[in-house]
Amino acid sequence: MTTDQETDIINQIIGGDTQAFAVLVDCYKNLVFTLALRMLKNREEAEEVSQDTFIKIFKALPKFKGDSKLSTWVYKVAYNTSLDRIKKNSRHQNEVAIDSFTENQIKTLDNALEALETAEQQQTIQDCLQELSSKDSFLLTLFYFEELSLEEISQIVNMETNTVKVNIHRARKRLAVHLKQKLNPETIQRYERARS
Amino acid sequence: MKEQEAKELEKLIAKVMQKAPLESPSLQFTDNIMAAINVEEKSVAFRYRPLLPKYIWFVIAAIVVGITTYLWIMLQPAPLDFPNLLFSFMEKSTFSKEVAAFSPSKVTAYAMLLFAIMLCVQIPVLRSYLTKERF
Repeated sequence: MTTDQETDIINQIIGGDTQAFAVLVDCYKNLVFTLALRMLKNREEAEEVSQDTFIKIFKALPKFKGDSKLSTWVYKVAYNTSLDRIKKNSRHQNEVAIDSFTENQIKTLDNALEALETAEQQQTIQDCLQELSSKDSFLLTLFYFEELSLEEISQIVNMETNTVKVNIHRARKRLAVHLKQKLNPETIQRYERARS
Repeated sequence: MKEQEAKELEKLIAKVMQKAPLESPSLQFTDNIMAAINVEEKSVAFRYRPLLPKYIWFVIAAIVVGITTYLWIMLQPAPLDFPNLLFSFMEKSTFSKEVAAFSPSKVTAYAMLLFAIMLCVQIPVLRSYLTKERF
């Protein structure tokens, strides 16, 4: 959706056409839900939080001045609402230690992943994302799905651009660790042997 | 060497993230949100608002206090000397005589009475109707 179309819809909603909000919901629901799911790791909770996010957005829409892109604002509300829910649950998430990978090890992981069937690949990736911490998962999803710039992500999560960059790099490494744990050790060994 | 590793890692994770599908919420997701918003809108429409806002009451109070103070200062030293006020000018006014002489016909009187009764009946009926609408 272009910025002009979004502005038109926002004006319609503020003008009293509540039904126009459904267009915005349909446009952003999948990504907002995915972000909430990656943070909360639970479908029901993610759906509740996504609904809360859109209701908050609806209420605050008249205050939206267009300083940032609408999408940036929507993801920011989604991030804060998910964070609030995590705080409420006071759930502790384990973070794996960051391993250092050599170039060969990364290629081995790549080959081992390629060896899996598509459905299996997707399941493995889903499992890895499920085990990743909320913040890592959120950052990677924003970075790769929406292809947002580091500046835009820094606005959403309220961090310095450099901190976001470092965090994304660490998140990549942690995801690789989870991937290594999830992939069949025999397959990895086979590829490692083939390389040496 | 480290840069190369970082690039390889970036490539791998980009590939992994592309393979992770975007999740979809339940089919009723949008409908649920719209229903919640409509309830919210309705409650906003029926939110109790006093007929006169607070600031109007302050303005009225200020005017009353102002006029009273002004009269108090102007009419010193005997502001409450009511017996000295003369109402004889009213006797000279033809308008007051006409008002005093006015006697409505029986039909007008009954119509007025009926109107007053209907108004008294309508107030509780409308009130209960609006209360039902709200909840």
